[in-house]
Amino acid sequence: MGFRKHINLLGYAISSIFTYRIRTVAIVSSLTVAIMVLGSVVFVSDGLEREAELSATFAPDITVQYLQAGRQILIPMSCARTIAAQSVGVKAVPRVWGYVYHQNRIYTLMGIDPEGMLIPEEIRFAILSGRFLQQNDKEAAVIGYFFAQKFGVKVDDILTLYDQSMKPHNFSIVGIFSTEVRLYTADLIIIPIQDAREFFEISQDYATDLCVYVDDAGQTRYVAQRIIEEIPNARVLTREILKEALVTAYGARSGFISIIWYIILIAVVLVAWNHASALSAETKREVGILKALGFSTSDILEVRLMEALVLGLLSASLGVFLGLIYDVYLGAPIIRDFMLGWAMVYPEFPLPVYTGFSTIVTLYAIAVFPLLVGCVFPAWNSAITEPDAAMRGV
Amino acid sequence: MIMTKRLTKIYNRGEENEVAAVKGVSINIEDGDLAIVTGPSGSGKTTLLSLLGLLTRPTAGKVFYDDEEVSSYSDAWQTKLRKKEVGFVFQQFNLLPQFSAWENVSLPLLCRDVDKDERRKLAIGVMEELGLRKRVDFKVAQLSAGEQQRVAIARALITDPRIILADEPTASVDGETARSVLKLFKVLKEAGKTIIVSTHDPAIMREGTALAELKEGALVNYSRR
Repeated sequence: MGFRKHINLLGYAISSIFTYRIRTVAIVSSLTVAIMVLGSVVFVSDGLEREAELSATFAPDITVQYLQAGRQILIPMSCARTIAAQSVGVKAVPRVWGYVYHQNRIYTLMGIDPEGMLIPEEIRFAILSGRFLQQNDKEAAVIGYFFAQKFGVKVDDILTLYDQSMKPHNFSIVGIFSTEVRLYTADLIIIPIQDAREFFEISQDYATDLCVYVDDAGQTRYVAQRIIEEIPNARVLTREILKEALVTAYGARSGFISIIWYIILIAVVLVAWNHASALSAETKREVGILKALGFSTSDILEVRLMEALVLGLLSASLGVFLGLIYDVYLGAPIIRDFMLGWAMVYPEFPLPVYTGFSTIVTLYAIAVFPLLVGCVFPAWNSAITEPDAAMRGV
Repeated sequence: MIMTKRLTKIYNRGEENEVAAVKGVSINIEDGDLAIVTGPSGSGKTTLLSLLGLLTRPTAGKVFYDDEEVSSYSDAWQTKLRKKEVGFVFQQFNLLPQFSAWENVSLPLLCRDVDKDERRKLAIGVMEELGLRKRVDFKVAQLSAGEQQRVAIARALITDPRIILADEPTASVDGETARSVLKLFKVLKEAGKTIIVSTHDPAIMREGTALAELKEGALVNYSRR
């Protein structure tokens, strides 16, 4: 059979959607709400997860911190020498960082050694304007996109920060991170390590932590194990552990809000199911007429499935669109606080929103499949009913 | 040729409200007949037409099309046969109100490989013959009862079926429409169509070539002219 018949049946299905308006509005509105609430959470949790993964990309192979009484303290540089002595393929680079008040918010001021650190290639994708720190930079800073937006600063502007004795330190902004890592860099100011030592008054004999790079990636776990053995007070975090920790931290929050959202989702999907699976006397009579006029069981079924498909696709499209509006333009009220926390002194974190292909496909599937499944049985039941009985509404 | 043998239809069998709508009816309708099914209200005329048009299965007995026993065909085969051979004119018209007149007429073409332009062209062609040219784009609710009846007839004719089943086609229309319906049936009969009409209308009954009279579901008289 040619395609024209299927076009005809699709046209009939669409006309049915407009004919039974109350049913259509009930299904579309409930499913749209369902997809919107689910989508708004998933877009944010996907965004958080993506940021966590990106953040882990820039992390060293191993981060070594020093503990005393269970709290992190400065790590002696002798530990760096101990670690580097393990093998020629192992390098330990100091990092000096701490917190700084700026305009009533707390920011992380991180001093790095651009020469010693292995800067991943991906960093050039993470820089929106300007450049990353270079070997001879002094009193230079790379800041996050959100920071730049909030304070209206750009590359070559001077950023003045005050240390704990309220002495001002000026930094020339040389680069701004892109929006891709905006959450990760929202509270981050990166400066040369020597500037950080002066700012925090930390001598050359200490660092806040050590970044360990291992030439042979397969040896990372072994090196980490050796560090634990040789430096008993060390807290050793591999990149994988760091990534898991980040993903788990955000995942747990999104999981919590998702439970509430899933309850709403199930409720509205049930409403849609109820409307989709209920066949009115008028619909049954219509099926009888169509059968009398030569429509086969499969024709009737095709019309009903097309109807469900169109309603599902329409609802999913509206839901995804409204979910994005809710997240991006409205800033995701309610779920934002759940997923990012309520901290008042920290910077206002931007909400990362990510719409991955698989997420979109899943949302469409959630809208379409319940409707298809919900309408198959009643559609089949009415399609196999004798035309005479269907027209009499039996 | 359409033939029935001891055709019986019982609704709600075995239940308190069991109704024997048709009881042991055997008739023989030749090709080109204008066959009349008559009888008082509730005598089983509509049910007999439904059985003849394969809209329902008999409880007992058989329906033959050209010596082929079709009442035991599968649902799919009966649908194919209906689609190819039979056109229906229902007593209550059974038009779909959401569609325009021409869309109602072309409904049987939706499940065929005919595009919209062709469907409209064919529908307008049939409607013109029935004097409905100016009503092509009217909604069903905007049509008079007589016009609705003619739309229902046009719908039955659009696939050029061999057999036309009409259930009380003049019961809900005025005298003039009734006369035009009769005139149309005569034209169709002359064109070789087999027409089976349930009616009380004496004018139509006079034109019949076969007459089946039902009473309480049973055939009380069957004659041919």
